[in-house]
Amino acid sequence: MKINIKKICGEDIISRDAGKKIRDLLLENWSAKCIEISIGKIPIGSASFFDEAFALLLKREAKTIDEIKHKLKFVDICDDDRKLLNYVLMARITEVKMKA
Amino acid sequence: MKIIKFPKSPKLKYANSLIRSVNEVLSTKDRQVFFDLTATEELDALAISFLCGLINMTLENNPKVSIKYPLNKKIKSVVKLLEKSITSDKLHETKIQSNSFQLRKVTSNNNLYIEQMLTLLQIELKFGESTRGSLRIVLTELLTNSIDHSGEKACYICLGRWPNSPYLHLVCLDFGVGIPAKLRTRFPELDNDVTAFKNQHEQGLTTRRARDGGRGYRLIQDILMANKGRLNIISNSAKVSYKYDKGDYKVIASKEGFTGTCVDIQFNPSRGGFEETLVKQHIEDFF
Repeated sequence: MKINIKKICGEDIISRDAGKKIRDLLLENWSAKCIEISIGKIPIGSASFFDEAFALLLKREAKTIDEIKHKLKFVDICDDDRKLLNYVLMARITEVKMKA
Repeated sequence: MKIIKFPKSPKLKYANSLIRSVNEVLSTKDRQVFFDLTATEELDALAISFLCGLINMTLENNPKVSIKYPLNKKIKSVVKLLEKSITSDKLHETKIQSNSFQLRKVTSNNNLYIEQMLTLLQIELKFGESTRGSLRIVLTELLTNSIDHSGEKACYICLGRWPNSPYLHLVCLDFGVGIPAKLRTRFPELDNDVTAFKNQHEQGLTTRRARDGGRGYRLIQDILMANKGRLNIISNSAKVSYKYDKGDYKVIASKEGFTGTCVDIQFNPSRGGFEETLVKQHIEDFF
């Protein structure tokens, strides 16, 4: 399964609304063994987008970080976006642990 | 005819005069409007953003805008550049650029404008990738906040460097509902704008309390703390002034209030901020 963020979200690849589109698509296809995610040349740079698209899988959809790491493959994520993705994932992991 | 005078030094310290101009423009309709900049001796990101916003706002309700130029030649050339761009494209995305600053009027969640600004300025001002990455995060967060929450679907983003300041100056200005007003609609127990800001500072600056989200300003603050920069917000009748380089944090009433939000950031160009935040918070490499 391949997801191209630019094709799905169009011009807006930074808002929470855009992130929700991606999360919904991930959930529809969660049974796939592997989901390849392509971002494209322009970095996203949006904590809101990454949180809504990926990190909320932890809090709202009860996915584990191991599941997410195993299933999602970011084929062209730049270093800045990769660090931002890790940042929002860590924030939600901490939040989920504190509530448990 | 209506004359709106710009002050000698329309910088953050004297932002009240700019706020006053916003209210004058809002109360002016169907008149010929002059922006008098004859006394203005300096401009920075704040003044440029307000000037563009004020001219655009004036053109929505008045047939004609004219500018009386500053006497200072350097400032005059910047103002001419602004005037040409705004009045010829009054209904479209405004793009203004010079060697030391970039300004865009943005009306959608489109991060291409941010990448353009960063690329062009990085060439001129020669800041590093760490600075660029941190600025991208801050600018993107401010853009989405304005477009998604202000109710106006337009904001002015200005980024640049000015003489006599060691910082990169970044402004995001909109004429939407304002942060305290939005907070107080959601939480009526917050009885004034200063209380609204203070209360939210204790829980992180967000209008999304008790809903998912609202981490944006927290991340901006973390970056600026590591960067030893400064965060200033003027919105409705309150002002926030956080000087991370001095450990000085204030939330006070603004002498002049306005419907809108102005975020004015001073960013240390020799540092990033996000990288240090990752180290400090022990962020793991999941990907």
